[in-house]
Amino acid sequence: MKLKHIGLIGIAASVLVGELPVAPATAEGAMVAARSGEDLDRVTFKDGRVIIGKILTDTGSTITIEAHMKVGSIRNIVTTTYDMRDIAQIERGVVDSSEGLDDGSRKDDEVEDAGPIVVPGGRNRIDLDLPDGTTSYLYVEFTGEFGRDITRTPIRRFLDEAKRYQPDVIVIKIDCEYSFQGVEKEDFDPTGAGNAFNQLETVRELQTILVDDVRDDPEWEKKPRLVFWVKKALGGIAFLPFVAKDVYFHEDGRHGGIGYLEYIFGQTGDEVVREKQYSLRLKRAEGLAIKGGHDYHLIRAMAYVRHRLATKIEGGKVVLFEGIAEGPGETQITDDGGQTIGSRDDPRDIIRYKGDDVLTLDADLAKTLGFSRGTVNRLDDLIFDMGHSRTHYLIESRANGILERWSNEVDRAEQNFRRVFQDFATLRQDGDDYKARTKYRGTQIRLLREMKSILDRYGEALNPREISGDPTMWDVEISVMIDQIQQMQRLDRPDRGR
Amino acid sequence: MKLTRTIRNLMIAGVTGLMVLASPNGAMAEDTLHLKDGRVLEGTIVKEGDGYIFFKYSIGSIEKTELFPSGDIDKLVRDEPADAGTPGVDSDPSEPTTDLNSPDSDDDVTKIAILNFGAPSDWHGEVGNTVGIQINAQAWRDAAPMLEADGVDVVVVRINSGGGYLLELEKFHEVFEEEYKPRFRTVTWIESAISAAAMSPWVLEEMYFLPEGNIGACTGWSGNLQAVAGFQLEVVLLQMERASDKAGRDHKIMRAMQIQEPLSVDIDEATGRVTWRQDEDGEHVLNPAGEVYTMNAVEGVLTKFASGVASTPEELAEVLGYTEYEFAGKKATDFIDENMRITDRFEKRLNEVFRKYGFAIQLAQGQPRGSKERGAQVARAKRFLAQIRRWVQSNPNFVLLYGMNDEWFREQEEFLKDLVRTQ
Repeated sequence: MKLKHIGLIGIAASVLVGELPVAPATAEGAMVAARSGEDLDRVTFKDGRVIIGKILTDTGSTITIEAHMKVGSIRNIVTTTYDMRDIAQIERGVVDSSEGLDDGSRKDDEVEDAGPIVVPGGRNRIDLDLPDGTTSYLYVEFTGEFGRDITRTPIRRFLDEAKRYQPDVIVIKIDCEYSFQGVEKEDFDPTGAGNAFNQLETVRELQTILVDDVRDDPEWEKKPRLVFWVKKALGGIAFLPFVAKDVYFHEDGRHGGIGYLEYIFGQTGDEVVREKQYSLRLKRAEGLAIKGGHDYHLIRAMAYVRHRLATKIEGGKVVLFEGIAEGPGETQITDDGGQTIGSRDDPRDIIRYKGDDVLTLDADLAKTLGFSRGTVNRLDDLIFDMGHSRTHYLIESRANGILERWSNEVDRAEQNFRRVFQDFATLRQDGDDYKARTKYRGTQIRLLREMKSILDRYGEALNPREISGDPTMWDVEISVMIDQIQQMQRLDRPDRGR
Repeated sequence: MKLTRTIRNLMIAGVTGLMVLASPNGAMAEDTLHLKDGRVLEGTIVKEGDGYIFFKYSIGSIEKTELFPSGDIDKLVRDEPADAGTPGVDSDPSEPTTDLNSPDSDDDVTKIAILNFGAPSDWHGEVGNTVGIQINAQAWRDAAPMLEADGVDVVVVRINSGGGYLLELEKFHEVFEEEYKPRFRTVTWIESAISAAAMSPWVLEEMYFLPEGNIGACTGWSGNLQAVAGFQLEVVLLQMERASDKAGRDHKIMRAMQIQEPLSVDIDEATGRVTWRQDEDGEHVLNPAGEVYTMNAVEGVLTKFASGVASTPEELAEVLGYTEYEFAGKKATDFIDENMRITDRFEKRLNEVFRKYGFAIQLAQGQPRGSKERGAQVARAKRFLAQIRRWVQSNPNFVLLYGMNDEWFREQEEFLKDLVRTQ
């Protein structure tokens, strides 16, 4: 739904090409634009239209975009505001203004022949044209809060970007906050099972995008090797590195924060039901480790206090087992929190990362236990360890920018949601006649729809604490409220039948 | 009422079972199955498929039917009617007539249908996966003829669910026993089968896992983590013992998944034979005492509970033993998926539509009888009611769970009619 044309300025084509390189419209009549020197945004509508241009404002419920439209020989600069509900996807800064163009000095005819920048559903594949034997790397950092900054939409966006380059290796550095819905925990605190296992389903879903979708998507002509580089993976994000075989650690790396699973329900209900709940959570998590080719005892030791993890050497290799280290060469990694041996970790141990009730991996332990391939502090070191120091190519992609932009979008969405809700709550009726009431209700509905639009786009990431309620709850409430306002308006009609 | 019906069904099932055990079987042919683990079983071949047989045999007074993959069979000696061959002559699985290792020996391309028993994780939570709501036996019963019409040979029940209502267990057992097992080679492929999602397909013999797969945690509960206990617990335990029998599975496995019983196994190094134990004394302890068991894929393979592990449909087809196959049954798979979506909408939007329905009634009541507006609001209410009725029809369990039976709808319709009466 087009809301409003803010400006429509006809400009001679020759002037446009000089100042603002213009790519041709697609066969579908899509609008395209380019501002010299700036990366452009791509907006895909639910009806298939695609617009390339520069997003000027984004309220969360509407966007205003400056685009250039070419119909036949007529070109116009069009600044238009669109309703988010009509938009399927917004990709910011994903279109290089020079793509398909030289320097803006092209003649019109040359521009026409340059081919469309945007092909709906296409991928803007970039051929790296690397010498044989070169291994291409794409690097991205997962930062911020898992479940907010790292959710399915930004991961899909970054993978779409990655797919354009068809890298041989994707390295994901995990350096996330140890927090849930904005509430941070201390890094040394291993008791994160409650929130972490609430996010396990999110990890199970996300890993299908990173692993299964890439495996099954024919547009990934060569399947990239996925490498996690762990600096801080505490809490729910801790489950994610397990799905890749190749894991490296930063020397300050910490991995865990999912411990004390068997205490998350306290004394609520019957013991057998609590045990059932622990069991299903643990085994679903173990499944991710098995999928990645790791020993699932690591997950068990990270989660359960009662689990005693020990190692022994067999055939020159470290083997994990559950039990008490007694024999020669056996080492106790975690005890059972004082239930059988050892003692419950005390605060002095915990704050020094020396607790052994549950497992928190650091770089050395991760290497010792065979989980980490190595400890590296620089990407170059990782690439060196992978054996490609002389034969690699590091792709300069926009992957990190994509994730950063998502975080900014979520911040803005929350701010906008609160603002719109505040506007709704403080809205006053100006006058008491039918016209005033109609205007008042119309504004109420518009504000509610703005809130709904924000929920539709960012519901997966919004912090319930920031928007005074769960997005799903809001969704229902808004729908009911709109219905009620519409009916009140209907009943208020002066001409309604009696 | 629910419990009474369940007990009655179990009693009927028990009587039927006795009748079967008491029936003369002298007329039945006696085949002899020599297994690679050294066991020799005498009984009858119930069904033969590509790469497997179902073999019925007795242990004491207990009769059981078990699936044996061809890989486990050393020799099969048939006691065939005279006109079908010479009785007592050893047959070998590698011979063309009984070639269990060559699924495609009939030159037909095997048609495999994969049906979602719960939305897979790559649906990203689009729909819920509760047994009894999104996953309901009626839809699966309705899908069976579609599969048959498509000429499907193999049905894969791809499971991803965190459980649901116990009321659905028996219905699923019946549907799989009556509609699926006689018609198709029916196997599970497990992403996550928790609680009712593990118990419902438990009657199926062949279990395959995704690498991340898990099955178990079958403790019944309600409210604030209150366990099903006493008489009702015994009923469910018995129910699952019967399901285990139907699948030829040791009772101890499910028992450890339902209550805090230990589980361990001994595995014979020479034969590979697995012996299940309800204690912690076995060679491999799977579930310590006091815990409730959920099995992962590694344990599934170790104990031969799992017939195999596969990451993709193609890998699964290969593990199932097929080299020439096609994925089929689109009508049924679409039907099941759509049923999940419809029932999901009901669950998620019932509250919203019900509130709109109530508000329309409230507004109607506030208008004078005979007024146009009163009629308009009643018309709105009728539309909401029709919406609710369509959803309820998508899953008969909604009648039980929400009390929205025909009588309730009739009452509502009468109430709405009364609202628009002028007098």
